Amino acid sequence: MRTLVKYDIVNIIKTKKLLVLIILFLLFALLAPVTARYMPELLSNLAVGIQIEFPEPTVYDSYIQFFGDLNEIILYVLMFMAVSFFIRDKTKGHLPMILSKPVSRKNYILSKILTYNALIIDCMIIAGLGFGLYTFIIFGELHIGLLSLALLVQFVRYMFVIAVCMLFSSLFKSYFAAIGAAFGVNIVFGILGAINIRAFDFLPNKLVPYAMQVMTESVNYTDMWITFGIVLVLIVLMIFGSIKIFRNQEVN
Amino acid sequence: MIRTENLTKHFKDQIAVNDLSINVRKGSVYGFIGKNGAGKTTTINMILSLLKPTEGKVFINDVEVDYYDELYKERIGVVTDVPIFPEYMSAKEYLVYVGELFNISNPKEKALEVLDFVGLKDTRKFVKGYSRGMKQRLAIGASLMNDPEILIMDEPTSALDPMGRKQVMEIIHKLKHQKTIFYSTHILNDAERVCDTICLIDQGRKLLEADISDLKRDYYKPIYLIKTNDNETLLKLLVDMNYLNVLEEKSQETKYEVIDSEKYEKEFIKSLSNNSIHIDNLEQQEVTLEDIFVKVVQDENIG
Repeated sequence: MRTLVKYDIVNIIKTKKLLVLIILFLLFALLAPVTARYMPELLSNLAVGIQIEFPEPTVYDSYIQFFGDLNEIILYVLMFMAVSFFIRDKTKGHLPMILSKPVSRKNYILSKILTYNALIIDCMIIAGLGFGLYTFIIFGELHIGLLSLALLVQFVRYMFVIAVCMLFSSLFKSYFAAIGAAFGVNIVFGILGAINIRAFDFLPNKLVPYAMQVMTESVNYTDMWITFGIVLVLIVLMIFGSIKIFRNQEVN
Repeated sequence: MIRTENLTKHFKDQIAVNDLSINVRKGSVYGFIGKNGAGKTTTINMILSLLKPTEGKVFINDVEVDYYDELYKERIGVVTDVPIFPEYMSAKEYLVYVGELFNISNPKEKALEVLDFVGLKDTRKFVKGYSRGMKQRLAIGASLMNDPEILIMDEPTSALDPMGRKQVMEIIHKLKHQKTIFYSTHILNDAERVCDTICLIDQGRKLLEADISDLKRDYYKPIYLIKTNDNETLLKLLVDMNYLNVLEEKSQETKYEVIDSEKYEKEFIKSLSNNSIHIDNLEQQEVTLEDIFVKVVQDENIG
């Protein structure tokens, strides 16, 4: 598995995926505190002739802006790249070459998951440092402990989305089918999460508001940790599912 | 070395491989010959556990292959018809990668040795800049990285120009007797040049499996091309001769195959002479594997 991980990392570096993601994460990490601080002023200046009162921006606006970005544009880019990364060996015809060697299919799946999650951890650490520094410079305060916890919750949210992408990349042979299904699951969970039923408070997409609430110090920790645990179990199940599907899948 | 028992593969309603039992002996070059779509690649993919047999078994060194086991592949090298490489790698990097997948010791040293063997010198050039022939040689090199006992080659020359084909055939010649080679092809000339044993396959079924020497004895009947002063009379005569078989009639020449050589030698010239036919030209034609293939397929279709 070490060789598979090593060459997946080489692939990520040489195909510029690492660079693109680091730039993307860093860009939004640096923009979030700037946007939170200066957007109200900018809007006030643009609205000529209209009197708009904006509350004084606080460090919490910066947090909300950052975690909002992590769950919109960055999340979608991560999904597109994840499916591309997982399915490319199938679509580009590399898979028969790899599997005609003594390579375990289980290790193949695990190496992909491991590499992609490691990539995201790297990006999140860089983004977290950049965001923390900028937020502190602009607002003069930063809750490092809360930020670390919120980023951990956010990372588990990403892990779930990646596991969904892996599951459908294992199942389908077409990039569009896999990405379509992954987005479909995301949308379904989004809709279910909007329904006011107690059980739906523990859905994977609820980790998004929990991460924000950690930063605004308004989270119900019991609910958050239950959701956290449920999502981890779902991730493990989806990885097992991906391995089972892939082990039985015919390659030609 | 490689053995299949009643190997069968169905794709929905289509039967790709049908009850195929073959035996590839250690150290031989086994020509697996069939038209495109005959079931060659499907068979190979089942041997490599890329496809699950619908029925039947595969054995490597008399041990049954388990679809979920990958360790038996440590002894196998594989070359496909159109090899695909990661474009961002150089030849050497790719070979080291393959060597590491096989967990061999010192893959860098082995990569240089293999590149030298297949005649690729510029080890730092990216694979995307390679010609098809170079890519195929690199694929052969990759298949040798683990120093395999068995080399499975799926149409390695089919996508190549004559020069590339020649180079690849030379490499296969060099490997002959060093490895057990399972050589799938639809190019009969190539098979004839390197194989010890051949298996003809059509519509997923085995038509024939035999050593080349046995084939020559059983199927390589002498074929002649004759030109005379009176082709019309000649044809009438030939049809009545039960020791030969007319293969092709042209206005000036006739091609026939001798079934009974002894009788032919005794009677043929005499018959022509008795009918005042003078031979302008008589030449023996070389029988090729292609002739045999066509004959076997025709016999099978008639049967």
